[in-house]
Amino acid sequence: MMDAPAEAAIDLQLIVNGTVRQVRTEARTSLCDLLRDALHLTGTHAGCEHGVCGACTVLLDGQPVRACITLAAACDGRAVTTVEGLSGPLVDRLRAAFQAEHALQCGYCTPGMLVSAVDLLERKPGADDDEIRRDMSGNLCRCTGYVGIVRAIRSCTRS
Amino acid sequence: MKPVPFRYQRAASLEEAVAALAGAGADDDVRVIAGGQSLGPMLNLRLVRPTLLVDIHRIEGLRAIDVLPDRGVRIGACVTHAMLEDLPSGDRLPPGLADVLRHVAGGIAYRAIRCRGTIGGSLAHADPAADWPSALAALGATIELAGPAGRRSVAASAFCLGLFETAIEPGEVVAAVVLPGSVIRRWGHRKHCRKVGEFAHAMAICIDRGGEALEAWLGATGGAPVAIALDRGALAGTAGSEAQRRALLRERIAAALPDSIATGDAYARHLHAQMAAEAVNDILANR
Repeated sequence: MMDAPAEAAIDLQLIVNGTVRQVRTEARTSLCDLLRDALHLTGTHAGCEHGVCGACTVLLDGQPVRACITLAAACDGRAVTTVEGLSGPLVDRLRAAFQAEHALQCGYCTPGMLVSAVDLLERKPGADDDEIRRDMSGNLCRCTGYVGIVRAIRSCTRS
Repeated sequence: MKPVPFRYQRAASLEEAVAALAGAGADDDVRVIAGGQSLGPMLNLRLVRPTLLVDIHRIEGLRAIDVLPDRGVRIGACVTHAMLEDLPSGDRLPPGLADVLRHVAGGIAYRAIRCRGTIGGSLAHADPAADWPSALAALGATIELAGPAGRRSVAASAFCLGLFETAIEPGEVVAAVVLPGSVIRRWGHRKHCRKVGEFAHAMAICIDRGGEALEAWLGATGGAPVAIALDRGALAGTAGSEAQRRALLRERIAAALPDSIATGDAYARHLHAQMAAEAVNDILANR
């Protein structure tokens, strides 16, 4: 990477997956690139890099955001949860369901799918198939045709 | 897919943001960033190449939703679409108004976008396909701007001037959106997207506050939102005939649409008429 002009260097402190991380980066660095290149958390995938595909979705203070169009500088002092940091009973069930329902093939979209699905299930624990399809419409998968993904998420709803 | 290098300044107050804009050098290309859900992609694609970003999204006062004495509401510029989508039910806001805000906000892009994107940013960006420009015009909103000369207000109906063009003067920042508290009796909002969450190709909103005139607006016209002249009497004349109502709407829309659509794109015209008919039907069905 080219050296940043001194004026564009910026010091940040983020809580990433529960750990405080200090990092110096450029003002233009996206949260996605910071996670991958500086913190080596490569589970967050860069897909379209303009907010359309959803592969880079992470939780920022518990809310889903596109890491590719969120500036790292805007996250100073805030808590980021990546796919590596997702945990708990719901996440365990979701991971098992993704496996059981063949909800992934190449796996490129999977981190974003999991993050978005966890958010969906927490907000709408009783979601039906239509709601799941609607709420997951911001995450593109080019392998599965979505049927397995919807089925996996549906199996984790309270119904 | 990476932005050009730029300097970044996070404003702690609106005054600081205005000062940062005023203090930028003559060679600076300054952009205000809030949620960055439109500016972010434009930065990554280098459609914009600023030298300085002024970030306003942490300004505490800009994230407030305040109910006013007239039961209207003042929404800070950095209130996210998700905050409006999640407006609690109850009597804080007039019922109709809360419903419209929840519905419009909840239909914008995807949840991850709505959690960052802001109402003020959407207005300032003025993408013709955005939801707030036409919705806020129909709701009779006022946009508050802060600038070096102080505050001023612009009616939402006069705020968007065209494609990415607004009434914001250089050095000004959107501070808030103010909505009147008069009761909304019935409303309809429809938009057509090729895929859920994608940019809309046609959009219509209709608000009935009980008066003779209905507030009916089209969005996603490729330019500024377009008002459709529509009143209760004209609609009553088409009662019982869906075909007549559609014909009336087609005629009113044709009179209102910009030439580019009115004379050119029959498909776009059809979509706009369809969305308007559905928005009006929502009102009639909700009697």
